Amino acid sequence: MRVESKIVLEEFLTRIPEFELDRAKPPKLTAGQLGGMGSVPVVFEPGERLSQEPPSDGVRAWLEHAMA
Amino acid sequence: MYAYFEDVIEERRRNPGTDVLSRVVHSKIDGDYLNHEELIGFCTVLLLGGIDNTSKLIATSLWRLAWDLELRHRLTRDRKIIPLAVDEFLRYYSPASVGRLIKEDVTFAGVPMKRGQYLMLMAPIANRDPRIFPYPDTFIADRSPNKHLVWAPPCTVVWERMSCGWNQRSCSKNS
Repeated sequence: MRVESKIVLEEFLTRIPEFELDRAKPPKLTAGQLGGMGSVPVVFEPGERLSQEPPSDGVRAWLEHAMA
Repeated sequence: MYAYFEDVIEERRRNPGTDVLSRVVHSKIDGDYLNHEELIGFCTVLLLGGIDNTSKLIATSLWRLAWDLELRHRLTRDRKIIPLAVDEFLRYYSPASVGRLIKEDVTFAGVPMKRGQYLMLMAPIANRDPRIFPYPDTFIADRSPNKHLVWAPPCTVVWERMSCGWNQRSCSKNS
């Protein structure tokens, strides 16, 4: 959990240093035995593409899920 | 899920590796191996603790970073403090609380509890204890030491038997 969070924050802030909450889609808080944000839509200016490789299957599936 | 765990436990019994589960399956506590129920319980904690907690923590951290520009710029400028900030996110936005079954009548801190009652251990509140954390309601990105109890409550079932007690922070912290 600690390692995953650290990697996500490092990589996210490297690639997307400026972002803000999406005013049109409020974040969703889930509460109960587990409490925390269940969904946090953000908006940001896309950066330059870093890789010329086509996205892997995992990334493509994730993108399709995120854009749906 | 349980069927999957049973298969994996059986597999690790026969072919132990260097993974966490192999070590747990082959460890003796007070002279005994963990029984079937305890092994399944351990797998459940490890699996669930690795999914929901983590996604909640990351989403909440990014929510904070989306509007707390000072904190975000500090972390982008000085990446060395990100690991400390992760612990402060864990303390400040502790995702999990767990329930416990009272096994014998006891009075704890002046509160009588009866066998058969349920108890909720609120880690998020313990993590704002002013006796442990100076300025407990302030988010201090590089807070150190940061002895939060995020992993302790979910682990007590197994860890009590391992005589490690409440403060043992060994659950899924490195997973």
